Amino acid sequence: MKINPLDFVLVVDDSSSMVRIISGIVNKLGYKNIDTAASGADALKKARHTSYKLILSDWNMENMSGIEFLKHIRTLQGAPTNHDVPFVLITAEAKPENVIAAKQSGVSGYIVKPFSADKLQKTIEAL
Amino acid sequence: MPPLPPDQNSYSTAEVTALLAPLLEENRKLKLYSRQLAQHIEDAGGSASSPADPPADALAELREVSRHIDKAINDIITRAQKIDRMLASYLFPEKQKLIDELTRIMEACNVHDITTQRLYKVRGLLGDKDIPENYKPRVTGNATACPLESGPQMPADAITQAEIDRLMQS
Repeated sequence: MKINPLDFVLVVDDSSSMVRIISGIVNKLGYKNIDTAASGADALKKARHTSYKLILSDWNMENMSGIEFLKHIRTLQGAPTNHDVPFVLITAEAKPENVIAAKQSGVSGYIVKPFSADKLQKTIEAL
Repeated sequence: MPPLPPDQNSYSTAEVTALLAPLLEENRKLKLYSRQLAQHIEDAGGSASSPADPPADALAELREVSRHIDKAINDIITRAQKIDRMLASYLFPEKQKLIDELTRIMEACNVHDITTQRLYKVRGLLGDKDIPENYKPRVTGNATACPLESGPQMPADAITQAEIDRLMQS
């Protein structure tokens, strides 16, 4: 996926330090418009009003998990059109059934925590 | 204690034994009850020496651990990002190496999220109510509980990023 600095990226995680880390890495990759949210519900509200080029989300969160947020995104109707946005889960959930469930829900990439900046970059570039 | 006989300065051994007999009997009964209670607690799955209430001291310690780690990690991130911004003003041969080291520092910080989740799990098992709902122990038969959300696994139970990549590509 070619990075356009003006594209909007959404980073979703209930851990403020993870949001800072992921946002920092994404910023270094070239993205300058980075929105953040602390839950799937907050993220969904933002996705109804902003067209994102990339969503990076945690899985295990209160007030709507990352996978529930993903399922909602994939069925989003109307503008802005986020339903086919590249969506990467960045999560500590590391069982095969997690990956399979995420794939079935339409995830574009799956990164297990703790992760490296290099892995995140390669995953985004491969989208 | 009955008064001393008027014509004696002390009790005979037999008299002392007779006076102590009820106390000794009560003491024997107490010991028996204690043993029976300890056995009852163990039969119920507890420990005779464990407190009946949640380990409040242990929870307080864990909360302090979480709080201090959170503060320390956020301080480290703030300072690493500050150094990164300062470096933007300079140009020297080793600059990229320093930037790469700052990235390694940020990567190291992301283990904090795993640590926090594991601490939530421990606190949940100890009965702490002051943790996010999704980390509280799930009640068996709870239809709303999601078995896919269990937080970080033990290394032996987790698959690697390489295995995840293969699953994603299959």
